Amino acid sequence: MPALQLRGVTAGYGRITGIEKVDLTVAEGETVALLGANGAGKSTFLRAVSGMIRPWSGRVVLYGEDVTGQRSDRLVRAGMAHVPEGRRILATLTVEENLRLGAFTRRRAGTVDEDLESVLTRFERLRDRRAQKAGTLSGGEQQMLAIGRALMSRPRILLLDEPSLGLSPLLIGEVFDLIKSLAAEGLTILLVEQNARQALGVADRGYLLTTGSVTLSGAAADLLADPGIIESYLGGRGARS
Amino acid sequence: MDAYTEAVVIKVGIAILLALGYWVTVATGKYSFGHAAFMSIGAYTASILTLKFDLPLELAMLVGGLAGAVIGAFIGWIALRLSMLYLAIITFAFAEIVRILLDGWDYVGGATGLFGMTGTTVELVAVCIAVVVVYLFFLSRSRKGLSYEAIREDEQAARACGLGVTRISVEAFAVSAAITGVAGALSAHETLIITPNLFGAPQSLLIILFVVLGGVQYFWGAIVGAVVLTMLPIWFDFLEDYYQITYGLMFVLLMILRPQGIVGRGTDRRINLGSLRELATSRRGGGGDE
Repeated sequence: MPALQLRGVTAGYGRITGIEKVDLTVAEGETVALLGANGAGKSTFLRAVSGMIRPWSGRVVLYGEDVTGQRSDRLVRAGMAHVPEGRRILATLTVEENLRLGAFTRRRAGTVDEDLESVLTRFERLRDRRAQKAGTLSGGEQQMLAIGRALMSRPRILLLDEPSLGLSPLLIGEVFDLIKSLAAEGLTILLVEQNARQALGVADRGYLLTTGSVTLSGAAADLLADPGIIESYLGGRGARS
Repeated sequence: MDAYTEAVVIKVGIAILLALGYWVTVATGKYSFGHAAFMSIGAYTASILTLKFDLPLELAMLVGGLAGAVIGAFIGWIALRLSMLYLAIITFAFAEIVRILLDGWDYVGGATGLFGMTGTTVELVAVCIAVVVVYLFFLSRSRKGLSYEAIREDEQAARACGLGVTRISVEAFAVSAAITGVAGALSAHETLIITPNLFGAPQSLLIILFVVLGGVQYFWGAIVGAVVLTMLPIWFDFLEDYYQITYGLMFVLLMILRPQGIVGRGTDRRINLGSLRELATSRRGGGGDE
């Protein structure tokens, strides 16, 4: 049973179609990258998957359960955590409050404290700042916080929306190292990125989204090995890392 | 305590109750523009019960609050899934509908209203405030309080955390309407007479001003706003005809100098700008992003 499966999903805003008839599968334990240039429909895709907007047609199946159009809180309960684009941390709340909110759907306080501890162990820099307002963190720390918050819900699958956006090359490297280690721990990951080379570097498979449709898919290594693909579709963006 | 002082204290107390009630919904970032309707629902429900069914005020007041909660949950359920602009329109229209319906309802005296309610005491108002303050004190420190703050701060982010944003907001709205209903009941049994026009747009605006003036960040900001706004007309009584203009100017000045309200951190100017931006750009579900 695949972790996540999209069958012919069409979605958009108002009259504008964002993605059309997208088919995509993420197997358990796999890291999949969805690539595409600005405006290719990546954000619409993630919003449709994560319940922020309702798809116009098609099906979203999560661990065998049809979750098409389900609200995000249901999806989080069903095991899918979403790190939204631009991180969306709650700036006026403290780091710890942000993390605790990630575990909001879980009730058992003891296990939440355990997970808080493990997230703080993973992100030592957050431990020093746990009582600080999240808005005072640097961009990289905020990204760590956003990912840590998602991990607090004990997800089976993690959705990452442009985690490298607005970060310095050094921090981008750090974020991808983190994704790699999460994948190595067995977490299923769907990564939506513009930074094609980096994303394919950590992914098992990749899908290429062009003007709302999947135009290419395959093993990450194959996609990476063909620089012509990346350059023709993405204009070489994110190359030479 | 002489009768005059007592009347002022009750008036201030009811204002505090109204402000605290309104704060509960504002805590989730949802502004109602027709909260006077819940006041009138509480006032009329309780007045009918005390006048026509001889119920004690304490009980009638609770039923009034319950009526507010039920109708508040219904209105919230309709309006809170939409953007802030829709919420503003729906709550405003709802208050007008309630006013017009009461105006044409002979059982409650139509436009001339109901007369003869008494029984609101300083003690009763104080107990109500105490109950609400204790509730808000624990709310502010609870998981639920944290979820309110998250929703106020960024609805999409709250959703991404797995919070049932609509359900939580509707619940807050219903609690807010309940407290407002109780305040309405107490106010009816203080003023002796109620008419539908007492609960029009100016009253709704006054409730909003209590909270905006005091500051939305902490619930005690609402208390400060309510006290100041209720006492001002009394303190500035000597201005007579110039009162309204002084009052207006004072607000303009305050919004320029302290947009976050009397209580609240100075750096949070963002809250006001953010909500305006949201109002202007909101699409579905009050997103306001991108």
